Amino acid sequence: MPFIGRSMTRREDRALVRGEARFTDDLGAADDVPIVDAVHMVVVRSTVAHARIVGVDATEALALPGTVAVVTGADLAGTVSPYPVVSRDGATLADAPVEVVATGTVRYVGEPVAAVLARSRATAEDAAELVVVDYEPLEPVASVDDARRRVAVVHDAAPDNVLVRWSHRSGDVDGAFRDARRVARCHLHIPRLVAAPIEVRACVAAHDAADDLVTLWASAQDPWRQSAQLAAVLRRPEASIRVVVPEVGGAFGSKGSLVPEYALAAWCAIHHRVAVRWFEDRSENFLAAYQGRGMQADVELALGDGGRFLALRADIAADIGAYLYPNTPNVAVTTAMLMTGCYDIAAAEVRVEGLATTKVPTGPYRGAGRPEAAFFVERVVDVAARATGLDPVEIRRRNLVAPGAFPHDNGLGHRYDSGNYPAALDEACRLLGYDALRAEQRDARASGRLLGVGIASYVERAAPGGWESAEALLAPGGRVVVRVGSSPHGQGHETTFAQVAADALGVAPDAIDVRHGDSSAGPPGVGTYGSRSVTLGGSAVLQACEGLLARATVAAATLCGVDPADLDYRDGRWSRRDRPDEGVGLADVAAAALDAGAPMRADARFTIASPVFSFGTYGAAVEIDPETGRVEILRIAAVDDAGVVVNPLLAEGQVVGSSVQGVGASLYEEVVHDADGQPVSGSFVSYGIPSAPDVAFELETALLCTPSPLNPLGAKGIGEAGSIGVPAAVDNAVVDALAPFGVEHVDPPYSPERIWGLVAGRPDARAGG
Amino acid sequence: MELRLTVNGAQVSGDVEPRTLLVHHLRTALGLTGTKVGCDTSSCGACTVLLDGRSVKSCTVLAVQADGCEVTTIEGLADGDELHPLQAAFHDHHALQCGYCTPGMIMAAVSLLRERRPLDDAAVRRGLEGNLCRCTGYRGIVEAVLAVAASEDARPGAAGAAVAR
Ligand code: FES
Ligand code: FES
Repeated sequence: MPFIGRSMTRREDRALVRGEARFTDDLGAADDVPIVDAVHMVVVRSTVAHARIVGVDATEALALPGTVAVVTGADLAGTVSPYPVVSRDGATLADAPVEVVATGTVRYVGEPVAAVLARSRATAEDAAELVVVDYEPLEPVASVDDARRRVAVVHDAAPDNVLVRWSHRSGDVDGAFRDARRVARCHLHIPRLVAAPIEVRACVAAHDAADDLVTLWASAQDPWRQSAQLAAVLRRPEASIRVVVPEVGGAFGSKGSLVPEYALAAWCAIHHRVAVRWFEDRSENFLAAYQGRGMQADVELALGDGGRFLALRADIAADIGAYLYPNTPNVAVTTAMLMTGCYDIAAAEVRVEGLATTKVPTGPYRGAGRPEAAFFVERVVDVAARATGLDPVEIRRRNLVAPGAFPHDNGLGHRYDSGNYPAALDEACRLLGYDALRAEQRDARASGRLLGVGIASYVERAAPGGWESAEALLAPGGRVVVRVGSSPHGQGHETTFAQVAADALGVAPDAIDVRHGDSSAGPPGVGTYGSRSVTLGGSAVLQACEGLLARATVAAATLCGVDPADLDYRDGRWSRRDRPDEGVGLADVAAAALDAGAPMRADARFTIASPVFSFGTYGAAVEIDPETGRVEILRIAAVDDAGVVVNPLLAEGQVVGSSVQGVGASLYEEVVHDADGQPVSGSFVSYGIPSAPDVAFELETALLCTPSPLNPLGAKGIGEAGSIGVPAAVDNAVVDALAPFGVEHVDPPYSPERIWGLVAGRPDARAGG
Repeated sequence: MELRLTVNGAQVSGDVEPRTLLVHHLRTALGLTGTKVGCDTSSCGACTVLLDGRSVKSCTVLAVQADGCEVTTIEGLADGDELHPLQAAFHDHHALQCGYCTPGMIMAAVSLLRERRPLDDAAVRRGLEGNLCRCTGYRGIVEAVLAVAASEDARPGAAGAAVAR
């Protein structure tokens, strides 16, 4: 029986549950990390949203015993470059890349202005307090509307405050809207969210002057983007940089681009000839780590006879923040390119503007553009259902792309590889108990209870192009060491990749060691993001192991003195067809290769031509307490199709975990800035993520399987599913519950205050800020 | 200041700055890095340890306040190679992904089980309210704790000792 498809518990767990796993801030001499002489870095951050820096006075800080150095933008000038930001998918970008440290102007509260190095963390903190920064205030740009009104220009390179522009049009959009029987319209807003991994950002940087090698140990999603971007920023060849990613305490997209403070630590290590360690406070993570979402849209859907979707128009505005990280522009463009959702819509026109605001930059957060698209599309579909009098399930069923119509061009530049959308819709309705809930809702409404049911179908772009590589090595004793470029932060790559390798080699996963996370050891990689690891990394592992087995079979044939075709291979052993009790095993082949001085190995690099498209349908049942406005989630049904799933236990773990993040986004989470651009939500006290009692609702999950034709595993991706499906389904359920009050839309998060305002008939609570 | 502690069964003493938090003392001076730091508002529970047998957030306690006390950290839970029942259950129930919350979560669960109150889904969730996990959605964690609670109920007496280790 193959190991692919089996629920297996994780090999990663043992060190983690014993407290022995090494996260960045745990590293020390035992890990070969030069900690003993290291200095601590504390960052001085802008306290204002927008200002010119008049001067930075470090005199008092430097006078504090134990302070080693204070580093400002002036010190870095001429030795560092801005971040490399390149356009993808045809987006037009303004020149506004992140800088390591602010030089002339600060553009958000929390922006690094200086760094203090000191012998102890406590001294560094005290010294940082003593650094005096003199600001000449500029007008803050606290919202997309402020940006459009140009209350101030954030970057001279973008006089209109537009940093990202993208548009696409296909089909006869104007004709369809002219001929439409009805048009469904809505204006929607999603607030900014914080990824909030429980491990904050942390690094250790060292410079070996003899070899001119910079080593960065960092909490990051992968070593590769850190190392490539660090090379560009520090103006060094990538070969002079080694990045090691140890155990990582979660990221959810927020540790993908190079962290400016990591670059700062590396710069300090080079220029001050000390090892530097940095471990941010949670409050710094709220202030300065790039945030997610922050998007609004005007969406219109032209409806024909029978509720048929004829055309879609959308205008999307993204609150980009102060600068572009390399992955910032992708988010809004990802949203735009998925605006036709799971539906067969002949004409579409979508425009995106990403606007500069004087707030911390945005970037990917779990879902990274897909939750926004699902919310925008699925809300307007529900508005269409109400306008036509069709049941929300029925109007979806009539418009879904048919199972036989793949590959499907979605009119916005994507080609969906495979799918069976009606199957996911049917299964979600069954799991949720849709028909029974509708019946219950009729009775509930009659007695004044506010029960709501919501459905949301999504399709998401996973594995957005590119490649991953793997190397399989036959080690002494016949074990196989698989080195992968792909590197995890909680996903379980070691367990999953061992299952893939085990099947390819016909051995048990226990016979496989999986290594990753060090840019100087093993094959190169791209990164862990966009639900791409199994599809790309897993396919590379499969091909490397197949290559190794082919080579080993030739060697086994030589050892047996027969032709490879005359051998049978099973369970790590080759036996002669003519004399089945004679043969050799993997250990014999390994020993022979070692004797010959040529360890046996095989490499593979798997490149995917175009993305794969996971999909699913989520259903939610909610009840609202009319007295308090509290929304209670009663049940969520999560049906996902990510093609072939290697380990259903871990896939379900991703669905459950991402669903709870989705509930956080629906009910609790929202980054709030005041009109001056000062963040109001800066800790777990003011920005609540779900705790265990908050998420006691029933969650039913199911995995369907429509394989992808674009990779040998048939895999897609599932790491972000619940963050995409849950908010859209809960949004629809909340609006459904409020239908008796004539509510047509309400933006998340559904705090009791906001909902109570609607129930009490206060229209000012309808739209988010 | 002079500080004496019993940490995971061993006597340790040494000098400590009055402003040092227990969590930093454990991690830095004693090298017990299994205990994590996840916030600065005593919200996340990543730093949870047992102080004289009861769970505390070690970022809310000054090291000197623990003088003379017995501290148990995640490193002190397993019996050699053999995992504590909660450690094993966390593995069996896929109760961790990144694992950063896990040491604190397990220590909080040890304390919860020691109270020997009847536990159901809601009681476990309430008991772990002060420990945040951003990865798992808590489902596996609650299942793991309930599984250990059930096995202890099945063997009255025996499991109490395991937990009290
Ligand atoms: S570190 Fe968060 S509660 Fe102690
Ligand atoms: S497993 Fe990652 S925070 Fe709990």
